[in-house]
Amino acid sequence: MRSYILRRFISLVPVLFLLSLITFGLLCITPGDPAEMALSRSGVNPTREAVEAMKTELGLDKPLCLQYIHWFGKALHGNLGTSYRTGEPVTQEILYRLPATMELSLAAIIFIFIVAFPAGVLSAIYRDRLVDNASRIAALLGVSLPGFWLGLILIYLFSMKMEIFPVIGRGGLNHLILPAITLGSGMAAIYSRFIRAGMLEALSQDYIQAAYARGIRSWRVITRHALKNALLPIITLFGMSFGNLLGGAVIVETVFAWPGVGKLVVDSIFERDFPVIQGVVLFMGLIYILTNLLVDITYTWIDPRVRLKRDR
Amino acid sequence: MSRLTKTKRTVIPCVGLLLLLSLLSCCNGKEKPGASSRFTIGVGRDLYFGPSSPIFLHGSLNVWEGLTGLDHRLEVRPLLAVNWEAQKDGRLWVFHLRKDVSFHDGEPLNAEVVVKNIERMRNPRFDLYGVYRNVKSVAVVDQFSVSFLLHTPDPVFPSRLSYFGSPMFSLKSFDYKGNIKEPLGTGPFMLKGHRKGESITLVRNERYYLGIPMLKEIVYKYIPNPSTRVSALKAGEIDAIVDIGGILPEQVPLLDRDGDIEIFKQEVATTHYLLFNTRRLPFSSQGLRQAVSRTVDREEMVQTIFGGYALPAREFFSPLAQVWMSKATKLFEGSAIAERPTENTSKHSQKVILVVNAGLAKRWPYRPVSEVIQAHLRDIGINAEINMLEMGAWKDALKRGNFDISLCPYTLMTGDPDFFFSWWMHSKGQLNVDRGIGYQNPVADDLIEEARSEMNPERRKETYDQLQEIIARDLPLTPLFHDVAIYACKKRVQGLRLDAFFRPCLGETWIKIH
Amino acid sequence: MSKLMLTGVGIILIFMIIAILAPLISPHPPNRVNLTARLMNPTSAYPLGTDHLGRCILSRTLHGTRYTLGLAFIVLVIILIISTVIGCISGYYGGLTDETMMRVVDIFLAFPAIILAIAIVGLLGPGLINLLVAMSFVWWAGPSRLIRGLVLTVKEREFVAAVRALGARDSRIIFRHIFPNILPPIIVLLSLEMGSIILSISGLSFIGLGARPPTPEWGAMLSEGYLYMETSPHLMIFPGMAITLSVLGFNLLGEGIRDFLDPKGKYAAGLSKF
Repeated sequence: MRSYILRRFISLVPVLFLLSLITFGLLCITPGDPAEMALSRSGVNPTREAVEAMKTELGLDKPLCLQYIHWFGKALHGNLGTSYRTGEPVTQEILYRLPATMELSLAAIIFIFIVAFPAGVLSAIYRDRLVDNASRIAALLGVSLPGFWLGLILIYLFSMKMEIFPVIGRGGLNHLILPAITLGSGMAAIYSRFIRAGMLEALSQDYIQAAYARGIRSWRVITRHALKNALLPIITLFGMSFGNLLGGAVIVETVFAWPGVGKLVVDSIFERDFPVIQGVVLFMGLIYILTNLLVDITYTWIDPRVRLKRDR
Repeated sequence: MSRLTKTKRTVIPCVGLLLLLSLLSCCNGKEKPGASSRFTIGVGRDLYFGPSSPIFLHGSLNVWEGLTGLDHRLEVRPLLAVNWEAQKDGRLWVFHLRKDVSFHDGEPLNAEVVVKNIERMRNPRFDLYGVYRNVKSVAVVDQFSVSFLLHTPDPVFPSRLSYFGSPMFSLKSFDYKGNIKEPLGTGPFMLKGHRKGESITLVRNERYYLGIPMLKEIVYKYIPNPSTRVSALKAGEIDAIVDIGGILPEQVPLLDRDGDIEIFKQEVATTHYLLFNTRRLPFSSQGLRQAVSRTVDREEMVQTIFGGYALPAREFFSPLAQVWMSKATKLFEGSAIAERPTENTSKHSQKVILVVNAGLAKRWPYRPVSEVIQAHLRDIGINAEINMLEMGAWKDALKRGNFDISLCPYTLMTGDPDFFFSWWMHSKGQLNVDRGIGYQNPVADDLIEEARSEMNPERRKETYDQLQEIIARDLPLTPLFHDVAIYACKKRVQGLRLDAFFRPCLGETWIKIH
Repeated sequence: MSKLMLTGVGIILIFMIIAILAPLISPHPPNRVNLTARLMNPTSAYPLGTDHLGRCILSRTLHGTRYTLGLAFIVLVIILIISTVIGCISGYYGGLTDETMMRVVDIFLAFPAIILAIAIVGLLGPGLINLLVAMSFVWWAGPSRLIRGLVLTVKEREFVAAVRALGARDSRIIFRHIFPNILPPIIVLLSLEMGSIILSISGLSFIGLGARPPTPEWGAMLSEGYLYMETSPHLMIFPGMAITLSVLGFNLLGEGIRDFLDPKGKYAAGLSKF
């Protein structure tokens, strides 16, 4: 087990290296001068001399491959450089925004479970009955709604018309509800179907039937036996969908002006803040890979029958 | 086996708690903020620039001040400097400072500090619009007087030093490289805290030399979406929206209906232009440029798209600078608005590219404007394709000349015509080149250079009249609108005004307590 | 076919008919600016109202079908081509080629697609072509892995060994023997992605990285409309409904196909990228 984890960690390095190389390549072919962009933030048009001086300051006057080597060398030591826009360390910028994104993702996950568990379990128990059909249609609608549009509609209804929730930014729990629903709705739909499928499979197993036969009350059978089986695919799904959650956060953060990592990367792209873009790309890739690793480990832990299949 | 039930047992109370908490916080949300003298302003852009910027924070925040300022007619007025005089035919300028000014850290403002600040600003990285390229040296005259020796005479040097031209910070503010660690300015408000991408908190400067500000604390909230910004004002989450482009004209009726909100407008020194690529067909043709300029119905666009909150432009730079307005603008007016295109223009049936900056389109209605222009151009047989590019790509496209027409704002920061002509009309003018206009006129070049150091006001005015005539005829770019900033606040907010550079006078703002 | 699937097919057919007939059934030209009729609520002349430039929202939404669905279809074809080539090569040759290619696939899968897409379109500049490039760039990896798996199973079948024993060239084996066998499942599996592709395209357009004005693409219409959200919500309601409905159509179809192929419902409904 330990050597497996170690090997997975080592295999991270080439992936992250290539990821950074791709991003750097993209940045190289990007139109727009980051030095000028950084200077014109205050709304004035900087002189050529100012732009040149800024380029020297940022090291943008050096050849591209040198810039990359320089950046990579520092990145190996955990230094992702400084933001062109603000002149502050990139790691600091990301860590500063991370809690907001984490808070949002966590809230979305809570929402997903609140919705998906009852819906999934009930539609498995009452298979092909009204509850099942209703939840199926709701799930189909849930995956078909564009997240950003749902967000706007929620803002329109609950913030502007009914004035129940605040419209902007981050704050208490009431700030969190609409973005979390927006972010979680699509995933909740998928999860509910997964839980239903897992439950159905479990309920058809012999030991469940046997448990029924032994006269154990049905809700006990469901919670103790069936749900555990249904949980397994959920964990895999969680690993798969974590990246989607992070990706979805980009749009939701833009709609709700939520000051998280997603918004940071969008702003950085628009303002050509290369070190921050690089940093966020690496960081998100890392989180994604680590989550998958964690999922794999949890998987074997919950069900030792499963060999580490992903270990090719 | 019991692992799951355990989770479930914890989940249910958690959910209950969550709902309860959300209910509680909803109740909190209803409570109106700002009952104390804490004042919250919503803005559509992040006004925090950070250490690598010459100013750290936008000037609107009232944290730092310059030596001079400009009034509503864009004429220079004293600020940290009380008065000044030119010597040696305008080659030497001496500024006398206020004696009662101290920085936020308590350090006094004196000639030595000013000289150090100016030395910092002379680093090209901080000298954003090239104020100091003409400065040969700067020296302490006495404790409260500073002298600037210039390479060439400059009749409007004090104007150039206004606002962004000479931000003053305590010597403890910046490091040896000139990067600001902490913005210790002289303004009525001091930086208290900053939440990246969210808000900036200011507290009043108890030592402010023009009197202690009435507001104790100001929070600037960054709300990028215009709709949510306005909703936040209506819901009382913020007390005011104060920035250029902060309120869209379409939103005015909505705010008007709210009895608790007051709307203001302020003409500002920003003008929006239609730029032509004069280096390639079809707009290398002066006739066609004139035809386009005539065809674009500014009045209609102002009434519809801007809802009246803009002025149709007949002048090449802000008419707030009244002294510099000339008859030439009348000449432009005569040939401009009314006339419809003649027969011979419609034979130019060709495709042109109208490049629009998507970043600017978030602050001004450039998107509808470009679509209307597209429709107008179709009337004279020009088929314009709109190309939305975001900031970096837009600058790149213009610089390389990959466009035919584009839209662009420009603020007359020094209030002086030279700031327009030198940048936009001179053959080597930076914006003329970088924005891909490529206008070349040796006569105009000579006149611009002559006027720049002309110390005789009448002769200078004549030269600028001449230049306005030339540009109104050649039209390398044509003005569309002069900007009118819309801002709004809760009715209990008093004395909130904007200057021509959309900087609010926070020092004189107060909140009426019922 | 189930009822759900029939509904799905019905919705898709209606959208296809709308796309074809858009110019005939639209009451107004989609890009005609009429500044005297701005931001109007629905009336008899403008059944869904007008936008900020007085353009007919109904006409624009109808025409938008062509752009949004057309684009999604082109993206689908591009992904199909790329992932088939890569999947076939990787699955057929195996060994180092396979290992390298799958590592690259891993990298692409190791990243929230939307961020990469935003980066690409943001950096290259908005526009339909760049949108296509970005969408294909971030989308090829998943299907490639899937197709590789399909190739692996077909490769083991006896007839392939037989053909190889006869001395056929690799390219011939791949294209004449393996490809026809995997094509039907590929088409089915990729059509399940259609819903997500539509959502991604409109999402990118929404943040200003897709269609250029005045293209009546649904996402772009939403991004223009949301500025007027409070005063004129109809600007964003109708294009949003069009997106939802069309995605729903494809998801219903996909759900039906899935029911058919996999009655126990082991695979997820189109994992949305947004």
